[in-house]
Amino acid sequence: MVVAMRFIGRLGRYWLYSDRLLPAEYPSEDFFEAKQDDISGPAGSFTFDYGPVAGGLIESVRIRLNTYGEYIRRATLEPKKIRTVKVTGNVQDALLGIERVNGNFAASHAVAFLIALEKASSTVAPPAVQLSRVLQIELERIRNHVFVIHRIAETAGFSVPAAELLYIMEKVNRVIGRVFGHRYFYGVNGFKRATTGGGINLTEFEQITEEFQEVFRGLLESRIFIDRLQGNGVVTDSRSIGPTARAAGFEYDARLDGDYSTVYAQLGYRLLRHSSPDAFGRLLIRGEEVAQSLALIRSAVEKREEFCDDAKPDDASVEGIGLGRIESPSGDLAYSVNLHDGRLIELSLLPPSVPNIRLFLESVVSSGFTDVPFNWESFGIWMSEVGVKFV
Amino acid sequence: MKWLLRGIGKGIKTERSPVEVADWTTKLQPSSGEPAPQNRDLHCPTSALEDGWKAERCVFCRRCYPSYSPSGEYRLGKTIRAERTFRRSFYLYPIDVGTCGACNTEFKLLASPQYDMTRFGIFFTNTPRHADALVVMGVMTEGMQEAYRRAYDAMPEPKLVIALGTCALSGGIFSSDGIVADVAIPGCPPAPYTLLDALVKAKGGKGW
Repeated sequence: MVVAMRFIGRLGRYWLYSDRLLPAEYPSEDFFEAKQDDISGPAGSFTFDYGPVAGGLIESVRIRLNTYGEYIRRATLEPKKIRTVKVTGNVQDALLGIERVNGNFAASHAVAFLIALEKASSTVAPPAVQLSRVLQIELERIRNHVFVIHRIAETAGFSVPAAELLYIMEKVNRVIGRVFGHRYFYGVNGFKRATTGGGINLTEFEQITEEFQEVFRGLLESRIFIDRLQGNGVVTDSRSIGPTARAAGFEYDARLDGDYSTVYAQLGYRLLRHSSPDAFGRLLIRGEEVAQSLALIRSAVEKREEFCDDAKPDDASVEGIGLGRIESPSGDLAYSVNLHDGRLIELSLLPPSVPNIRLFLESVVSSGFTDVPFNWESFGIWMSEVGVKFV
Repeated sequence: MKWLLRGIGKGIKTERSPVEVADWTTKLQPSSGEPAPQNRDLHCPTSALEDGWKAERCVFCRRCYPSYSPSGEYRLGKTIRAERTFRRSFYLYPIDVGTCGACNTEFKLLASPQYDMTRFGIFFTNTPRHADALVVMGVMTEGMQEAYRRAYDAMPEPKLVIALGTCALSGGIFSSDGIVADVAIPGCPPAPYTLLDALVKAKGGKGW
């Protein structure tokens, strides 16, 4: 498949495209820092603050909605929790912080960071390590997609499927914990190494995904449920990423054009897309990608037996710069690193939640007030990876 | 009705006793009978190995392995003050003051059918005015200090503060102090079994 160049987002001092980095000519202007107080509207409208702590939110965030009561005129967003993560210096210490940028995407963050580090050191991880990393990312994708669909079902008041999806998510977490020793992949990855992840019971995992498909089909049969999603949060922007882009019909996926695209090609990866650029389309993509990730996991487990991991863990090189980009459950995730004297002196991150927040804020305008929670959940945004400063 | 019948048809999924816990969420202990090395030798990033293993500081990074290894003991919570008033009904108001998101999802999973916290009389509430305990997750960030204080002030007496996770307890890998709490639940993040055991003890029970 020929993959066209596409825009992804801002990575430090650069604009990141799928095939190049271009210097960003103007200073950083994060959408969520822009004019927070300038959201007043015409007579009859009022501004409603959703958060920073509310029952419908899983993380702390303040979403400001200017509305007449139903129709949303404008929305802004403020990440209320901003953590400072020390990353400069020893790369092993930095990895502890990188894993905790977003615990739910810890494998994705760690792998993108380590790929950047390995490229800066002009080396690559052994095939067995690469397959273990792909295995982790796909397990993480299944867990996250199940969780996002759970959140949407819960928002719709569908208590039984919401509970069933939480049950499935816990089962996935237990598989991850059993195979990797930790339910969020903490302490699993390192420079040119990864815990092997052996012993995954594919039959058990197939049963889990079958249980998921049963619930997912049940949700799709409910007109009440899909009415809350269809036409809600329409995104046709070509600058979108991840499930949002694929729901809108774009062939955008770092598994096609990012690092490890050759590994994914060997595993038989084929892009899934829809022509439903709304919250419903994003739900469809996530539901179908669960089955697809299972197929990738099966291929990775079978293929890994061909390799033996004979790589000795070693240290990152003294000098170099590198960029790592992979497909996290919510879209492209990229790190760039600069090594000097064997120590990390500069690190930039483009988390998928930043482009997804921009798309959410654009798509929420003109929608109804009660549509907002469904739209928000459909993007799979994690505020933890947005509100982070590296020092 | 269709969903209700489907749900009933699935049978009871709730576990009577703990079934499976991930190794690196449980208490660490020296692997051999010899005195275990300390922080400096093992490059512990959070100084969790001074005079034995300090649960409230450990981030389970595995640097101390194989000198230390998981024991399988998940009951890591420490109850400084329990409140028996809540023994029949215990409403929790979670507040994320600066998490990575993992504590949030583990806490959320207490509502999954496997754990079903409601059988212990434990519930989530959406407002601090109805809460018996404030569950604080994450490292205290500047932007969340006011929300934390206002949530605490809005709660009726008697009330408990529960610090959930290493970040809330000691700052973990972040440069921050822990919060003062009535119940401390270590872990990075704490496993749902650890959470449930500590919460049952916080309301005056024997744990799980």
